[in-house]
Amino acid sequence: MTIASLILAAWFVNPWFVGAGAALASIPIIIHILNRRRFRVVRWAAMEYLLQAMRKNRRKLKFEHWLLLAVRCLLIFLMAMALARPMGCENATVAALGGRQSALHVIVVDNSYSMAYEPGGRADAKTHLDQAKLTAKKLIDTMASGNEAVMIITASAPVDRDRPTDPHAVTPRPTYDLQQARAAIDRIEQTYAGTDMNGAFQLALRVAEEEKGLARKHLHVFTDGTKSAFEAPQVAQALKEVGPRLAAVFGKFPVHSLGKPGQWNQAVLGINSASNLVTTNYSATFNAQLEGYGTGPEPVLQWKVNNVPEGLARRIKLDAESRPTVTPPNGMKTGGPQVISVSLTGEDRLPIDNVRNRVIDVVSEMRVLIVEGERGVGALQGSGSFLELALSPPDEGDADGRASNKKTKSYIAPEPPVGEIELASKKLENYRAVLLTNVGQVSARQADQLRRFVDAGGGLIIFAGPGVNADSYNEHLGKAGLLPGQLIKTRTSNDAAYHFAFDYTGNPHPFVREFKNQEKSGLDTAQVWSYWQIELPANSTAERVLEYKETKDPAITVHTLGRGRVIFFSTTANAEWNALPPKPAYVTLMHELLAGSVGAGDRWMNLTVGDYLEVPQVLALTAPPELTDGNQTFATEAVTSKEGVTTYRSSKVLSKPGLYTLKTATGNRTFPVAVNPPDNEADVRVIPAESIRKALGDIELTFVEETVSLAGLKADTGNELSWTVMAIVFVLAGIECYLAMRFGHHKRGTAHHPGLAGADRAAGGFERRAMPIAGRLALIGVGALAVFTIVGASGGTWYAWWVFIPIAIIAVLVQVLFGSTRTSAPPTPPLAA
Amino acid sequence: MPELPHAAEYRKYLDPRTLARISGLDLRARSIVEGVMTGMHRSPYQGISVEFAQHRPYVSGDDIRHVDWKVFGRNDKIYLKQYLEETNLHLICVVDASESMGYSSIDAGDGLAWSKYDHATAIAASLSYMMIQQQDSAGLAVFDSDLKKYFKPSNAASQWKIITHELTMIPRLKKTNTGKILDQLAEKLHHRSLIVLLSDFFDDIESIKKGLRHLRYKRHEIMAFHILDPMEIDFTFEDVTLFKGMEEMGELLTEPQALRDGYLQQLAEFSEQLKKMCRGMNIDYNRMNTGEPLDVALSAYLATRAASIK
Repeated sequence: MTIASLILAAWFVNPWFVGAGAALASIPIIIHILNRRRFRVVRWAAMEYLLQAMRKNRRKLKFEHWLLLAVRCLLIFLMAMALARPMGCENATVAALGGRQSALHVIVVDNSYSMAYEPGGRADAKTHLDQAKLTAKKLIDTMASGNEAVMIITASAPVDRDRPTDPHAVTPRPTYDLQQARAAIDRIEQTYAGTDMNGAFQLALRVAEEEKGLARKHLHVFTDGTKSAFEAPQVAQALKEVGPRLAAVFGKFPVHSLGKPGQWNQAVLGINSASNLVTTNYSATFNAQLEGYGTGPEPVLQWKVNNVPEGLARRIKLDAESRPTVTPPNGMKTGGPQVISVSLTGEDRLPIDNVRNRVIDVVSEMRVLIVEGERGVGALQGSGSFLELALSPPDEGDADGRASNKKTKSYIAPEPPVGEIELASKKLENYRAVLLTNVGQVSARQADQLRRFVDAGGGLIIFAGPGVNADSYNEHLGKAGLLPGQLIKTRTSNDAAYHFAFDYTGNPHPFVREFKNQEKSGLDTAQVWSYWQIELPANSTAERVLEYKETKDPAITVHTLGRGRVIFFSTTANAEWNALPPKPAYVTLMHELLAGSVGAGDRWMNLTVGDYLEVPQVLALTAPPELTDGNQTFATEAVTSKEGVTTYRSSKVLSKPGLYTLKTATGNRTFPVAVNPPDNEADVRVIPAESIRKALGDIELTFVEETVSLAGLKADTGNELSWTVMAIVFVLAGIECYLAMRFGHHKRGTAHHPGLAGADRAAGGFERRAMPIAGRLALIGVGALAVFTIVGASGGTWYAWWVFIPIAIIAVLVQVLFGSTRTSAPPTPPLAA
Repeated sequence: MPELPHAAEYRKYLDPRTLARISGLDLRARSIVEGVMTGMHRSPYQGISVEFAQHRPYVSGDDIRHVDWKVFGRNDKIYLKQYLEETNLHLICVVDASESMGYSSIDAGDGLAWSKYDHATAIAASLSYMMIQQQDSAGLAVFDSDLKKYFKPSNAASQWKIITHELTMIPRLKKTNTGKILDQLAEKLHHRSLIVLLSDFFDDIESIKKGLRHLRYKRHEIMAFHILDPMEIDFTFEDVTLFKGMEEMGELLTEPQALRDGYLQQLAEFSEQLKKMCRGMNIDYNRMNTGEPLDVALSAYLATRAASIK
């Protein structure tokens, strides 16, 4: 880009019109040249007087012609300049004379669920959002129709597939139709999602970038100014970065802080199970995370299990540590998804977050696959035999549980162990967990199969052993992310008296917390003679469940992969390398490890507002299921992954909190789905203006409460010279008409022949085409008004060309047909006197 | 005898565009005269006759036919009778037939135009007709750069035919030289005559002045008809025009509107100069617009003449 074009771009909104104006200013000269080639010839008798007049007036005529030509060229050039929209200096007097100017107003309305707060005391608005909409509409009412464009943006978080370009845009692009803008404000809905001020600000910047044609840019932010919107850790950095950019584009912009001091809210932020896995075998304990932000009266707490009240409702005092629990006395006797609900009732001003549901997948039977690297012929001879027995111990103390027909009380249903060759033929999605015991080699295909299984939420436990081929493991399992680190070597205690032992002192991992302070569990006395040493990378996310006292090498690790988990057990699952299997701790440890490895099967049924419902593959659906919230049915659709796996999901994000029901196409299975509001919006306490300013990177802001920030708008008027230039064009048009009349460069209505009657004039050929001066002025005026109305309404830029070009053509035609046939240049001197 | 039409209706036959459609100049002239006379209540030449003026003593050489014998019988002295007008009025129409007189902006339709020359010849023929009808003599002089034709005044019936014929036969191509022609005429005319000069006077004014002075010195009465086209008077051209000057006056490509005021000023100055010059030499000056009916000008002129004769 040349320096000239840079200067033009800085001085003009539509710099191309300057070039066009310069080019079109030559039109009068071209018309003159054309007309010089088109003249009539008259044989004239009184030539002497004509020549005498010519000699006397030559200089005067020359001056008049040049003056008129200059005015006409300037007229066209200035009209193009007006369309180019020159920028004046801020607060310049001349610019102020221009009066009206075009501007872009970006209105950001926070419609996150905290804006549903009902502060009371407002006549026309119940919630903060109502007040924000009311004020935004008043703001729009102050704007000049056709001259100012409005873009409406919301600041709540959900990503809606209906708006693939941007979830925040209420109007697709800035609109000059203020009624449409008002209607867009009315369309803003109260959402149940969190705040995404950064997303809204990013969109505002993009819009400002796209609308270069609009000289002035204003940003108006309507928010309740809560901590979660501006100070949440996940958005803090982004807001700090976007703030200065906003200030650079929009200057000092107003923030309408609608939040009131002393706002309070009580919310249920979460429901959790005490253990990772809730089974039908054991009693389950649940705890609720309750928060009271600000000072409010004590609410009444009520638990429900499957919509049936559990225990009595009781008044509860909320403080930062309130974690009430409930343990259903009869346990969870039925397997499958169950709904636990917690509600707070009271005088809450923001009731959206007073109820929370949690779907718990109660496990009554868990299918697991044990793969043996070392097959045994006798009882407990295989590498996974002990494990099978431990996971599903028989009712009575029969050593050979597999042979026994006696029932087991365990919820775990292990199939008889299979050999490593059979692994490839198994459909892993039928199992909740796969346990590899001393498996020697794992092929790349198997590793890939296992990876997909874990990603989908399955649990994988890898027991090491003498048969393990480190190269194969590192090559395939390691690359698939199924190993926490690199297998180095086996470490063995050569001295029979020496052995390794587990260290679970200090702050034990949750998996082994059961053993803390328990003597003679066997875990502390279990001897380990050999194990595989594994080296965890420095940035490893794997947790150490147990490590060896002597070497501090990890004995058991766990790491999350996709939706599932992988547990690495560095020694054998049987008694080949350790003395753990005969110990009482073995059964408990294996159960804990299994429960810890299995990802929560109910995760897909517990969603936050703004999430899609994604049905896991493990349900093995063959047709789109039906999703309903009791009142409304939501569409679902099939999604096929790159690997060709088809799953089903809701077609849209779920935008309302509550309990939904998913019904399979066959109708024989139903699943509850809990959708809860985000837990980070509950804190409605308003942060000080200074904190908002600092959160936005320490920029200058204007804080307005409930009123429209008219002061800021007024200060910005008059920066564009466009209308000033147009006023000059009008004046010049008048001057041109006067000069044309004064110098005789226009056609009169009818030639004056007092001696001839009207009819005779026609017969004598004196009737003329003519356009009176008033007509020309009116034409120019209407043309200019049309240009500016349309240019103003369209926001300038390219629309202006479609107006400018016809007007220029009409102007030329008028000039040629009705105007002076000569535009300039002195007459030719006589050939002979 | 058919009843004559009403005077107002008759006037339409005096319009230049109507006259232009009448092919014969004699018919044009008759139409004009009839139109003029019909509109008058009293002819300005009615009663013109030979009237007694005075007696004077006989001197040797006098024609004895004019001796008043009654006085001789009473007084025995020889006196001659003298009359106010010894002979008929001699009218000489001097018509400018230069190229500039051919200019016409009046389109009468059917390709017919009404030029300044047409206007001049119509006036000349009309006046000649009137003179001859009243037993006065009419003559004709046609000129451009030279005196092309000259016919002595005569009251013969055939004289009017000759005049009209000659007026239609003159080609108009050359430059004018009015002053020289007037000088020549002054030398040719021996009788005191009424000279009607019909021209656009687009010539050197000093030369014209000299010629007119010469005529006035010879005691001729002069009527100057300054004939101009409406376009020359108003100059209402609008489009870019290349003016090709007649009589070798060069060319000018210009915007007429821009020059209009200057041109009209120059023309007005010239006309005023001409008028002033005529007034100074006791010459009747009349500017005639070829776009206007002839009767108005003729009637007005004749009325003025009648008044001056009385």
